[in-house]
Amino acid sequence: MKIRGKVVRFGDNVNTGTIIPVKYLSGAAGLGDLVPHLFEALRPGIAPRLRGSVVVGGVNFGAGSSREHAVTAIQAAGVGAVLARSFARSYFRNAINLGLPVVELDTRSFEDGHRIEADLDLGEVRNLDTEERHPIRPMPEIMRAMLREGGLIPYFKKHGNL
Amino acid sequence: MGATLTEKIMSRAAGKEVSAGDIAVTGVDFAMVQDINGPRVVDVMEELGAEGVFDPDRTMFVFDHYSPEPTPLAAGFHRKMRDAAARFGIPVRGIGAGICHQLVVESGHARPGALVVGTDSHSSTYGGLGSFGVSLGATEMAVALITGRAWFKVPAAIRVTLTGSLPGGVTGKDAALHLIGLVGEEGGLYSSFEFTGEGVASIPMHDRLTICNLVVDCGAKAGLFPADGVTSRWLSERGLDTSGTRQWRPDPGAVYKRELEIDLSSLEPLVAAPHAVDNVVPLSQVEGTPVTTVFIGTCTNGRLEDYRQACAVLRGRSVAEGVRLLCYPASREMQRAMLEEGLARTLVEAGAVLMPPGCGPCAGLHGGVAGEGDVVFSTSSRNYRGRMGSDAASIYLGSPAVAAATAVAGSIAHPADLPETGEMA
Repeated sequence: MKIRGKVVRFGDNVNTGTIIPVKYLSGAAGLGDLVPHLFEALRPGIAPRLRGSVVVGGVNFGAGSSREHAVTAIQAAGVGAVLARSFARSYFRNAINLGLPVVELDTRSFEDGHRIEADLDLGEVRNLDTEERHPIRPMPEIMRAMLREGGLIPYFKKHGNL
Repeated sequence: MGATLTEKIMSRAAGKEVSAGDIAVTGVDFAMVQDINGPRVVDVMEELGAEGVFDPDRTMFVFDHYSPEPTPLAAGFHRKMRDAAARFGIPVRGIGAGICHQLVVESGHARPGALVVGTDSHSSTYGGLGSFGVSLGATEMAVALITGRAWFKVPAAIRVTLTGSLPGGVTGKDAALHLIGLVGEEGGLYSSFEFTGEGVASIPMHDRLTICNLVVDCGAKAGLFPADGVTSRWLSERGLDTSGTRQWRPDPGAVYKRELEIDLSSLEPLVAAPHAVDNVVPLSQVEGTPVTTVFIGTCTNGRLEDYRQACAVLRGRSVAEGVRLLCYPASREMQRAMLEEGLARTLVEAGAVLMPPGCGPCAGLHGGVAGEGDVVFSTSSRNYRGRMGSDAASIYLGSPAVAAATAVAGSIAHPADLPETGEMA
């Protein structure tokens, strides 16, 4: 699995309320209603730039709530993958369960606008602008299998159990 | 080699011995779904062709975040969950019943050694009772409800050795904020916290629940108190079985990834200042900051003991002019006790707005949200920018007694610094 995209860079401890404020949920009939509000307190107006991008965070990306909207809204915006030095466990799990590639690696040298390519099979991320190669921290087999199948729902349909 | 309490519970739930770092497929002892994630849980169950759940008596749907429903869409979420619950035989706790975590605790299912899952990050609360409480997303919760199973990476544990005891006026909330300030917002990532040491015995159950509730706000997967005399007493007072509970403590020689020590006697009232939970400062540093809003409640600090502490400050006093004090009991059981003990009367006479049990404005959904320029003092767990409504509001977090004193003074205040009421509190 290969993902290419331009970096949209965030800092440490980006929490689920910052990704998509919970206050919009009770007025949102669908994910399309959430997309314009993605990251709005941190970077107002960023939503249209997310299509085809790779979101890059520092440590503890996705802290806070276990709401899946913080994953599905990012998917609906057209983000190819999220890269971070570390993730909150619930965000990491939700992303895998929903088929959004999430990758743990040292992201400190990534800058806004860098073009990158993540090769999940090879286990590395290439920065096409700086030519740097970064190894991906390996993930458990059960997570790799779910990502291969496209998420927990197709995985469960295929295997009938965990 | 001994096992951590985390490893012991995970091993029991997996039906085989597992250690930190292992992937374990486990049974779940109880599964709770709240109303933010409930609609999605129902959708996934339907997509997977679910005909029922693993054991209806070990499941619960709770309507707490939208209690009562603020929008037609939210009312629709509840209708959808009710219909599905009726089909699958899942018990529903409707609006006004209380906050999901308090209801799981009161249900008696968060027992020592149990593995309890919930679609809410503060499921870690159950660790106060020695239960491995952990949050799941909606999609994996649907699978857990159908199969009664979930998978976990067994977390390595951080041992927090407690010594001494909390001084008067210092609470579990302050101890938790101290811990978060110590390790930072990401300091507990992929780990569980296990509380041990002679100081444990001095911490009452409501404070244990508060402490474990908050560990998730420094990234931890779970927090665990060992089952001891406090646990047994709490269980037996509620008519619950206490047999076999004492085994749920770490083995001597268990291996920890990190060791921390907290001298409870040295703690003072603390506050998490805007806009991060780990921005922890002594109360004295922010005293005098004017506020517009005070919020007492939530799964962190909405229990009877919290209101006793708040009311000890409020009795014979009034909320400052121009300040709104919002009080949401954590459950109907708490609400009833507040009525019986006269706490509800104290709140109303002081000028508080006494609301029905539920999450209230904690997540900015309804019922007293923060507007532009609002400065909130809250007993809740999160003070992210925009958390309670407007991005241009500020939130300070602290204990119920400090919240009450702040409501009276109109600015952040220590209860001891209020003028005398001329009445025994």
